[in-house]
Amino acid sequence: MAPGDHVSPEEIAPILNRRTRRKSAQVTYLEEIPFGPALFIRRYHLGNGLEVQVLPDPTSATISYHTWFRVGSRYEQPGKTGLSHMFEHLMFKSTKNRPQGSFDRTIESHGGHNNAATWTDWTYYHENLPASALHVAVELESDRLANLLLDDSQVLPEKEVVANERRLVVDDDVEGAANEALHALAFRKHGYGWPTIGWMNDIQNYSTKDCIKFHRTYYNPGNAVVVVSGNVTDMDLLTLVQDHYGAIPARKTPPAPRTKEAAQRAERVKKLRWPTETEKLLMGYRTPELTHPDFVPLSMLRDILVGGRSARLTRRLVEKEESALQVRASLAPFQDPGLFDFWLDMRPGQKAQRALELLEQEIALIQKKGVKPWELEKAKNRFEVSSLSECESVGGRAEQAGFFTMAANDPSYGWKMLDQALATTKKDIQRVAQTYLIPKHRCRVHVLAQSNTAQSNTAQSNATQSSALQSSTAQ
Amino acid sequence: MIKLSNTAFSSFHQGPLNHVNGMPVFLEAGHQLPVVDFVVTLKKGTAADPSNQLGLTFLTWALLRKGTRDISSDQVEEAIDRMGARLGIDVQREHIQVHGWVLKRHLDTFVDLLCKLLRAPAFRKEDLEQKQREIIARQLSIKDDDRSLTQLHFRQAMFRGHSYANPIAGWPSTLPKIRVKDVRAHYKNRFSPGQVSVGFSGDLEPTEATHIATRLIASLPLENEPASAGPKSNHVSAPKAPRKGRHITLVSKPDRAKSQILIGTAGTHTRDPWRDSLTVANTAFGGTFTSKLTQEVREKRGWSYGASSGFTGEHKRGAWYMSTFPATEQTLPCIQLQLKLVEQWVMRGMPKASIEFAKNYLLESHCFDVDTPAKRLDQVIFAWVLNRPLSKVRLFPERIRAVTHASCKEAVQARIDPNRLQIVLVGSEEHLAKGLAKLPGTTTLNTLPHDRIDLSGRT
Repeated sequence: MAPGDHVSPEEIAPILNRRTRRKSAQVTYLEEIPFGPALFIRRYHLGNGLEVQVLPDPTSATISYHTWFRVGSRYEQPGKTGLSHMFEHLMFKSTKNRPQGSFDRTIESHGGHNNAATWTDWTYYHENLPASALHVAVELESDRLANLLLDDSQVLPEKEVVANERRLVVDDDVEGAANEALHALAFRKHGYGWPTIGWMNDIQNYSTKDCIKFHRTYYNPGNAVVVVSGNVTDMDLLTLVQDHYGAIPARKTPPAPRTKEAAQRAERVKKLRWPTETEKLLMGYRTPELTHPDFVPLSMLRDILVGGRSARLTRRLVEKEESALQVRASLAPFQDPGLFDFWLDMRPGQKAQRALELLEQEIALIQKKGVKPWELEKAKNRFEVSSLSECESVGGRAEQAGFFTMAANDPSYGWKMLDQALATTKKDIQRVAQTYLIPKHRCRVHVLAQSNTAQSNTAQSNATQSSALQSSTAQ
Repeated sequence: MIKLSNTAFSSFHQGPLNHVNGMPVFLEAGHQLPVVDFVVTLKKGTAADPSNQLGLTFLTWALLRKGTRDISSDQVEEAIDRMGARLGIDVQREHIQVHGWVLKRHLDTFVDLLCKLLRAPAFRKEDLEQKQREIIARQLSIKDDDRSLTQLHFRQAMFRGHSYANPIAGWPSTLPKIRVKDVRAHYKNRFSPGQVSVGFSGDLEPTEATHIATRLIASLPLENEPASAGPKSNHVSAPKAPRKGRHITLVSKPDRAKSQILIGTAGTHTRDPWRDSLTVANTAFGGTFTSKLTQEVREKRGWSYGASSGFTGEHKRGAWYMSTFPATEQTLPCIQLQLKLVEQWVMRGMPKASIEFAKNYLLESHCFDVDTPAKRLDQVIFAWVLNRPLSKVRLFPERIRAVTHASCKEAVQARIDPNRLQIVLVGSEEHLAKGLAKLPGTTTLNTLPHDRIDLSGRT
């Protein structure tokens, strides 16, 4: 039967497995699960441990090919921070079969575009291509998984690019620098405490040997999940995957680090001097991991506090008191406990301390009296809209499936979170506010204006593990 | 399981769904998700603001969501958020878009609210003053953002004295001069029917689209002119050519680890016969990851995390620019390299193979411009804003195929003048000023300390 013909998922594995005796290339069908209101996703395994997920959409003219690896900055060691992110760059260099520059050139020659991202728990690579160019993604991704070349000529210049990236997103960026300081303050042992891009000293000091070791440890089929969304059939995709990944041997990957952060008993505060005219405040409350039952109500609480212009903090701090220019918050969607962080950008002449008092008043109000019915309705509708909007494009769907596979080993976990959100009550939200938003479990970074004369060395010092931070840690 | 509809209406392929009082209604139907996206587009933007009231258009439309006489601002925001909907008001130099994104089941309620806001905005004095303070605070905050700061000064250098030089939201010095009566007068009878369109994408049938468009159009502040009168002039003249020579603006911030750089000159305009050739030529020069500029700056030398070139999108002649952000110590060699690259580009053009590669890239990647209903609607609206026939948009592949190696070279020589370059950067004066002054061909070097930047709008 020719690839692409209509074959049921159960029939595909036997057909493909007749093509090869190689164990690492044997295909196993796992399951088909719904993915949102109108789509479904099917999961397969290759003998070498590679997981393949297919999210077909015959109405699209394009495909999005994602490869997710279970490695991010938390897997790194002190002194070697940033290696996961470094691969986001090195993976676009040469392989045994392809010279430098060939990866991007090949993708562009088919009209595609590609990129990669790294965070604490994962790294992923993606290509968006016309549907007719599916084979290009399979060939390129399998090649760089098995045959990546790492030598000084590849690694050394890319370290400079990464150093420049760090200068852009941290050393010269007030929010980046504050964020780095906050996580260092909050996580003293856990890998969430160092920046995903790595400390500047580490970026400048790791060797090609370090990179080779890292690639060998984490870049293998058993540690990867391929998600393909768009105009693709299971048969076409799996035939290509079997041909191109099937010979890559299975390798064992070390388990994820199990570092546990010691309980925080008092608030931690740091001050960061910066060449700015307005104060800023970044603070994070400790919260549970993404798969914890309290994560969804916390996420809804986030929307009630800062989501949309009707949000309590936006209304109070930005509209009524006019103390802040903006208030944002995010909830870390991590595998281990993370932070619920708030970013307050003050208006000229306004003190962050005053904004903090207002913020605490609003939180205390929810802890004491709960939220209003319309706020619960808002949080539910916004959760639904957000879930749907992330699935508008084939790329968005692949990203959602890949992300939730990494975070919860379930590509459709996001839709289960939506079900949970729709069942959440006012009491749930009040309870999580009482449980998690308490000052002694909080870390704070105050950004203060630095006069011109006192500015020297700030950027340089911040670049080396935030040594310019003036600590006034309460604990 | 996918709900497919082979007969779904597509304005991209079929043209306007219909006209309501002469105003086109566009629809890109798609039924995979129970959401509807709609956009009311008005062909007039901030470029037509009076010079003593820059920011008037932005302020007026920002005040729209502050409610009506009977609906408070809090009630508006509460109602929108309660539905999980999004209302965006996007004010640009040459057009305005009111954008809604809503779950299908809330569409009717949402449109009802929007119609009330459009029909009778309150324009309260206290709301106006609050918005003025907020916008001014936002403008001052760009001093924290090197990239925005570079863009602000680049526009001023490029379009000296022209409305394109002004920020869309006006200046801190012009905003306080705007009074409620100015806003009310500005909103009233603002648009002729020929300047309005309504577009939808998503889970909607043609009859529903027509019905909602009729309600929205009936709520707009339109002049009583027939649609056939055609679009009114935006009263925007073409900007003058940038100054001759190489003019450097250094916004000085102490101890920057890197510099934000924009180098540019006059670019193209919407009716430029060279436009397609310029698109191809720029794609080859700095438009993709494997283009010449990125390869030389980032891949070969590792000097900047990003390096790209492009055109700004004004109707009249806008700018062509190169963007990089190298470390402080690599700033001068990076600028020198960029200057050399642009000189070579204009003098010799790009190799034929590079032009063919760029053409192929644009042809093959075109599917990503139209692969969702929302993107197809964007294409349709964009064509309408530019008064460009949809047939011409659909013929994008043919237009690109018609571009030749020779036409690219000719277009670049006709439009990109390396002897009229504006170089704007945010960086450390102590490390850069002397070197910048010695750059070949430097005509002027203007240094502005970041904490004494004049945001008054004076040029």
